[in-house]
Amino acid sequence: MKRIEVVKGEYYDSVTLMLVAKELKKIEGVHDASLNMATEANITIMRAAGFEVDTGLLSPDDLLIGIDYEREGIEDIFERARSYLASPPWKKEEKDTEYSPATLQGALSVLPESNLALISLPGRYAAAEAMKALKNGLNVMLYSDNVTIEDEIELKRFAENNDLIVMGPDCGTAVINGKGLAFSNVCPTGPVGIVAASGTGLQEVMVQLCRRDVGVKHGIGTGGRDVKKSVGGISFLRGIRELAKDPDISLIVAVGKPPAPEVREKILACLKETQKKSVICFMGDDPRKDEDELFYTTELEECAVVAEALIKGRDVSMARDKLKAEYVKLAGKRPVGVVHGKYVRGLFTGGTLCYEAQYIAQAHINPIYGNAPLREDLKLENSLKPVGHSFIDYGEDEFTQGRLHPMIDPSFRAEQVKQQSEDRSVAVILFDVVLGYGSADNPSFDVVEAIKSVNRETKPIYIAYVCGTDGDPQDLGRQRALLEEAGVIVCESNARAALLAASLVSRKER
Amino acid sequence: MNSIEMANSITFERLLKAEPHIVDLGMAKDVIPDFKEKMILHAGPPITWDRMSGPMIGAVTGAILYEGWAETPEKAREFASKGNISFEPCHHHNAVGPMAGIISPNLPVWIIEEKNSGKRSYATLNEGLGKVLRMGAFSEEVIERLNWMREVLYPVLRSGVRKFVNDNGGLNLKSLISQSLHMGDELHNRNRAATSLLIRTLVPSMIDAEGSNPDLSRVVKFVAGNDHFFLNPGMAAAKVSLDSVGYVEGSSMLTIMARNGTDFGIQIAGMKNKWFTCQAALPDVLLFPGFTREDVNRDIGDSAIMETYGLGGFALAAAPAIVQFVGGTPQDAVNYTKEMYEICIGENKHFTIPALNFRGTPTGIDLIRVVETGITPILDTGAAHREAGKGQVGAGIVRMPSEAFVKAAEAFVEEYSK
Amino acid sequence: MSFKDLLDNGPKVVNLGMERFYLDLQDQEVPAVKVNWRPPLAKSSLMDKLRKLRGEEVE
Repeated sequence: MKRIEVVKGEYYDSVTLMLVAKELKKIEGVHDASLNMATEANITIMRAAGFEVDTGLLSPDDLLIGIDYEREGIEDIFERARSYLASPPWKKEEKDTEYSPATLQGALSVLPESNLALISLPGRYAAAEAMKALKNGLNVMLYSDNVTIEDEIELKRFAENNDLIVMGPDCGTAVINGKGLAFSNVCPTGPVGIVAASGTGLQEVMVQLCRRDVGVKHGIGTGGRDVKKSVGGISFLRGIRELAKDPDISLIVAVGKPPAPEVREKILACLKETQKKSVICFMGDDPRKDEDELFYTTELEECAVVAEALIKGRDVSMARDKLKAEYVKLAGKRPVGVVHGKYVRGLFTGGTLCYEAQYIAQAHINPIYGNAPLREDLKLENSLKPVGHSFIDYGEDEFTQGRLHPMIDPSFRAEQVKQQSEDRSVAVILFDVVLGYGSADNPSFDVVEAIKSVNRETKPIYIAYVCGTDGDPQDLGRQRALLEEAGVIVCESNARAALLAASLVSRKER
Repeated sequence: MNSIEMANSITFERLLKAEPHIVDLGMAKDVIPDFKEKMILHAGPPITWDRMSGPMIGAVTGAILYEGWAETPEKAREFASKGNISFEPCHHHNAVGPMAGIISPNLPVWIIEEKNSGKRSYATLNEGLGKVLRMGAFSEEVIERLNWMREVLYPVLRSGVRKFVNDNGGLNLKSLISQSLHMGDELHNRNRAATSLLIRTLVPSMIDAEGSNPDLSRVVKFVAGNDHFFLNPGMAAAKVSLDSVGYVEGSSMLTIMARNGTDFGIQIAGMKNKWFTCQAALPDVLLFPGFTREDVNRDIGDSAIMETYGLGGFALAAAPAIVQFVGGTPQDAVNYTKEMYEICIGENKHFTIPALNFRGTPTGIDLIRVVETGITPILDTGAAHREAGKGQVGAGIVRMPSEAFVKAAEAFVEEYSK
Repeated sequence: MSFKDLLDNGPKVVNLGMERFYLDLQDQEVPAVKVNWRPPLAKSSLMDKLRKLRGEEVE
């Protein structure tokens, strides 16, 4: 029905009246809304729109509100109109959105002292923007992946010739002077400098150091491909050299998967040149003997333990032995109750955590399939249909097309946890929860809900590692409590969680 | 320096130096160059009768009736469809027209001259709001008003202008624009201050010249009652300033943006008189009561010349009141202008914006920057009803479509990669 | 600004891409600007040619 109401003696400008009409038309059932001062011209317009206007005692200072509403209760719509006029709903509070420049150039005029471009644009655009940034004298952190290796080499060579660094592509974590970039955990600064060719690898080492009260001044990410032969470790070496010059840094830590042989040589030579002590962690590498100033580790927690010993002036071998002993004890733990099923399914959000977990677990359970396996022949045909022991990295490309990274949105991984839980052949589900900047606000929430909703009489054992520090925004204590309340066994490191998961099942196998 | 950069700095400097002045008024057929007998000029890039949209069809119909080439609207349409009329863009004759932008032989036009180059441009007299020719209306009321404008408004106005020009050498439009920007205008959708300043400037001379003319009062009331009166000479000022830039080899600066209700077209200083066109945008603007999105015609008018000159949407930060049209805040107005700096060669120190600490308006749209940044120009414009003669349906911020810019960039590369 | 400057003076960041990274920098009181980025209108081959014309040769 169409109806007109008159509001006497109140003037509104035509724009306000139009905006109120616009708001009213958003209401379901409102076919038309027309607000006009009662001038001759406006009365004509409203009549033309089908409203009956009784000109009787009208003056141009009166407001006409015309509503065409198809349902009962047209009075409510008039009420709404009046309230909109009184307090316009479109007026945002003066938390006015400052101008966001649309280009790098524009940004530089706003912040001329910029020294880093943090680029997380789609891969096909990222390289061009990175080059622009370098040409403008900015260092680059390239979070984006799907950048070609040719572009990576070109960018890094340019950076090298211009005294700049490119961290990435596919660099998820960096920390400069205690400030975190992209994904990072809140840790105090201290005498350690880290160069890492792996994002969650850097996070785990920093977290393990932080738990041992050892601070990190800078954590430089290089992206995973930096240590390949064709890239030659350009950023990795630059990182080491720069950290070496810093008087605040007394220990350098190098983290990544084993590099190409030529690059490895260069890295070792470079570390030796620094004349500072260094700890190397090439995950999954063959074990090597420590040299004078070079300490070799192959696992992330181990790396932190050795670093801690060096910083605190303790005996490194003793520190290693102590860690080993703790691991042995952990591996010997008896499960509470019966272990139903045979298989371990590792469902990860952090790529390096998944990788390390596989490496550690495969000493006890074999073979381990996955979408980012230790060996090509262990690759799953369908990553959504794991078989046997399987460790899946849900941050891999195949899962992140059209989906947020699981560290940002853990809901997809949580669905997989539920699905895998209902598979009766699964004995243990192992997973990571990564806290810190960049990660979800409540990272445990989804997986805990999933676990609670599992419909299997004999639930699998859940083992988790929370990669986070007390300083992280998500409240480490609360995250652990949530998990533990749901019956999850929370371990102190990624290595321990993997070890426990694998041992529980391997003991059963024996 | 690279030749594109150098070429652009030449075109930019020329644009800023331009000095547009009102020097006279005249009849279109007498003063517009190459105006043929049965010619009708229209807004936007070239278009044929069969492709015209409602408002333009209506305006052409009205023009044919006004010129007496047919007696009824149906006969007028028939006349047009039979190829009796030469349709050409205003831009091809140094003219510009808002909305349908129709100029027929016997319409009076402003004559604007750029003092450095001597170049001239032309625009009709603005009829006001509501049922008007430029919105595609062609009723008797429209024709009567046009007749009155020719018989009464035009001679009185011209007499006053001639007196003023005689005393002053010309009416400096650049100066009026500059002042209006400090008074809340952006010179496309908001011309109230500029119109007021124009009237204030002209009325004394009009009284001197036509004081005893009983029509003077009605003429002044007509002009004073039309907030958009300045738009037409303002557009001509922008047109002649951009025209004065001429062809400069290697320049990627835009010299024209225009729409005909069907197509959107641009021209580049380094690509002599070539149009690059694509489908015109469908304006997504705040609608007046009683209208829906289905009623809106595609973007139409030569008034995009204001933005090409660094005004209108580019100067929104000077006119925060108008951003309410899209439910925005004064900060939004500032943000629109700030965005346009990113695609322009420089800032016009003659046109400054108080809210930005008197920063010059973003001027000299750079085709390459548009294509590179993905930012196409925004216009602050009115939207017409798709049916002839139904008038304006809304107003607001419209973003120009990207295809024309990509086409121009491809041609530019081809031209200059030899 | 060299790499050394970055390490010595701390990061001052231009963020191109995910807004959450920018907001986290703000939380840490790191000077930062968020770029409201959009892709170029032209495909990369055309962009390369335009850049070349502008004298921006990339080896």
